[in-house]
Amino acid sequence: MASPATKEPASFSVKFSTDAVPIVNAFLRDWFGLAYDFNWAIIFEERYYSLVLTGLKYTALLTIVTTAASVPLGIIVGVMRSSEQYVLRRVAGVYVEVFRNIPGMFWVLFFYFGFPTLLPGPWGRALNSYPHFTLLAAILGLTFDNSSYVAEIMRAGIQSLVVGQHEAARSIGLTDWQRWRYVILPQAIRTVVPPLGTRCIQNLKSTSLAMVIAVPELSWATRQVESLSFRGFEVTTIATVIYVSLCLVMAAGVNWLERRLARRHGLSPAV
Amino acid sequence: MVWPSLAQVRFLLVGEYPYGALGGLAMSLVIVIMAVVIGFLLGVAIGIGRLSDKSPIRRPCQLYVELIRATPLIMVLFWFYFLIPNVLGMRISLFWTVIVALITYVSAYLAEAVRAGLMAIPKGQPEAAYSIGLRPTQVLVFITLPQALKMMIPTFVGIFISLFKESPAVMLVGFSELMDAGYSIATLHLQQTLSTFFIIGAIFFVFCFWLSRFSLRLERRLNPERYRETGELPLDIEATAIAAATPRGSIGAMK
Amino acid sequence: MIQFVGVHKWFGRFHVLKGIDLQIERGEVMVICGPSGSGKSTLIRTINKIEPIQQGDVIVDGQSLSDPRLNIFRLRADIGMVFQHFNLFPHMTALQNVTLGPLKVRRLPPAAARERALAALEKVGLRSYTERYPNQLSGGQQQRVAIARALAMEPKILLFDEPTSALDPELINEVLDVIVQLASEGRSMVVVSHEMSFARKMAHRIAFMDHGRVLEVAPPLEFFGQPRHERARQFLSQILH
Repeated sequence: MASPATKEPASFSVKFSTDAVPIVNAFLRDWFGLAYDFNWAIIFEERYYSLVLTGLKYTALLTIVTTAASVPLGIIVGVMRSSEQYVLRRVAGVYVEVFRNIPGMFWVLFFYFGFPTLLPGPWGRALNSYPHFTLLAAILGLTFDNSSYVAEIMRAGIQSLVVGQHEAARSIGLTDWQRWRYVILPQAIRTVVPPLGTRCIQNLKSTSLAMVIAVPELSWATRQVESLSFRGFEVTTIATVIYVSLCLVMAAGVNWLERRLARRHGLSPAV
Repeated sequence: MVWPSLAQVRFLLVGEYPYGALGGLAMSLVIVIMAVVIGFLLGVAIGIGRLSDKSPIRRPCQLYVELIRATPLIMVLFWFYFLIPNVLGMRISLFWTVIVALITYVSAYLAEAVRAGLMAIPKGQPEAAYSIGLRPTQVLVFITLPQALKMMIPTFVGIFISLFKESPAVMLVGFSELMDAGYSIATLHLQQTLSTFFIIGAIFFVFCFWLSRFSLRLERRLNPERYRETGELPLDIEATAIAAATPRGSIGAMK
Repeated sequence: MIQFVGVHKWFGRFHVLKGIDLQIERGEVMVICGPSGSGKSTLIRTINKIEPIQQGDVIVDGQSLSDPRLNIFRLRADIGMVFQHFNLFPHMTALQNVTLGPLKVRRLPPAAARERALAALEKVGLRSYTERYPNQLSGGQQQRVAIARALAMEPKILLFDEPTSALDPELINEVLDVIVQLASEGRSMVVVSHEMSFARKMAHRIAFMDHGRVLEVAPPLEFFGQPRHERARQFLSQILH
């Protein structure tokens, strides 16, 4: 971060760091009898501040992109998993088992290291030299990993619909395709929103895995700040607060979505 | 394609043991098992505390659980990694730092599972217990807790599997286990990764797949009423922690 | 023995007990009947404070339930309750279900507790079923174990909350026989039930409830012969053809 160290920090941070912080630091030190000299004001120094901000941006980016990509993918696989056709079911089944049983970090590493070598020579090299390759690899790894959970959630949602729905739909003459499109899927998707919401919050936390290939998201930024300032505890606490806040915001969003869906379409899809 | 040698595969499985530190798969298992076993005790206590009607007990437990559930494992690891040596000034080995962090992390999810189990016990059970004059602690210990824990065994296994899958995060604080062993072999020794990755992936796959099948069979045997074909346990730690609990009674404290 | 004084109870906004004044004597068998939703189950559950009340008082064996110095656990040990859905502890054998109270509440030594339990099981006719788990017993057997569980505490009062309502018809009699025998031993009993034949035979008095109020209290002869309240008449004509 190439900003001059003499740059004037924001006025708020000056006041805060000269007044409140030393008091808090002294309190923590004396009350807990610790030898550690806390310095909570470091967060306001430009070079650390911008690292964290960038981290926040990348975390948000990763979360949004992987959610946007993995949810549709997962829904499709989930529907395949519930299909009456053996081949579709099997293929989807293998997909889900492979991505679900193997850790997310593995997939991130795989797409960064292993995947380019799977591609034909020139393509692999081009991929490796692509400037945003770490980000892409992280996105790919997280997307596929997340999609397998989405698929399972979808499958459970579909299977929670009683047989009666299928029978009723058949009895009024709908074709298979129509039955799925107008009766089964709309209800399944509505059932599935709450667990999907939880899944997305989990997704937010999973983005921290990207740090293993040096994607500059929030966890990576935390470690960077620590190695530069040796104030690991403070910055980790601050980063944790940020993660928790993000999760709370997402949880509130999911709640809002659930309530809105319930209001518009009445009670749960039922018997 | 260059495949890892037998010696390197041995490294993947047990590290340098018995000539050096334990590593690889064995180390992964050691830390996860320790974390789950000790975290279980903590998790039961906190899960019960979550349901207390005394605010000074309930609120801290709630706070603890919500806080940790909203934090990635890597952050929890970092936090203890910096807290213990730097702030507390304690010189303990990386191994124990990692264990403490894992225990803290998993206890929150186990607490949620315990809470779900307790809340799923039909109301009639504690009522009958109170009607023969048992006190609230006795009701908990003899009636509701045993039933809740038994009901939640498959969920606990699911949490174990999930923690095992998340355990590679410890390599980011410099602790070596299966994933790190594979990573170093692949990048340092072999200069290419596919073969090692295939082996690592296979190890994880076989392990988790077998464990989850086992857990399904366990659920079928223990809780036949709750075993549903759709109820295949999701393998992420968040969902197992709020695993479906059917009719919600409350253990209520009838004073 | 049991006295209800101006008892009111609400479930949220639902006024379920609207001013109950009722007295049950020592050694009396009182049957409470009425249509569903009348509050009879709720009423019987206020006796051992499993359901708390918001207004009025319940006095059991001279002790007021709203007295802050009351030790409700000790009182509950002297009140035995049998539930509609048995509520046996599924993770314990029949014997363990019955010995739990004597062991942990009465603090008897294991041998004495076991003796008491076996005697209680003998009384309900299930002496040879000690090692069975609830899911290995029929509904009628489970309910009888539940009665033994209550009896092993040697209670002063026995409460029955629709004890046969969840049983298949052919299993009802084995349970009713036990209850009839207990009633003829001079115990204080409160029974919520639809079994009118039992009421006619064994009750000293019958209380009829509807919509949260006790509308009529009378001995069986009078209750079945000349019911005074309109709703009671209606109810009886629906129940008995």
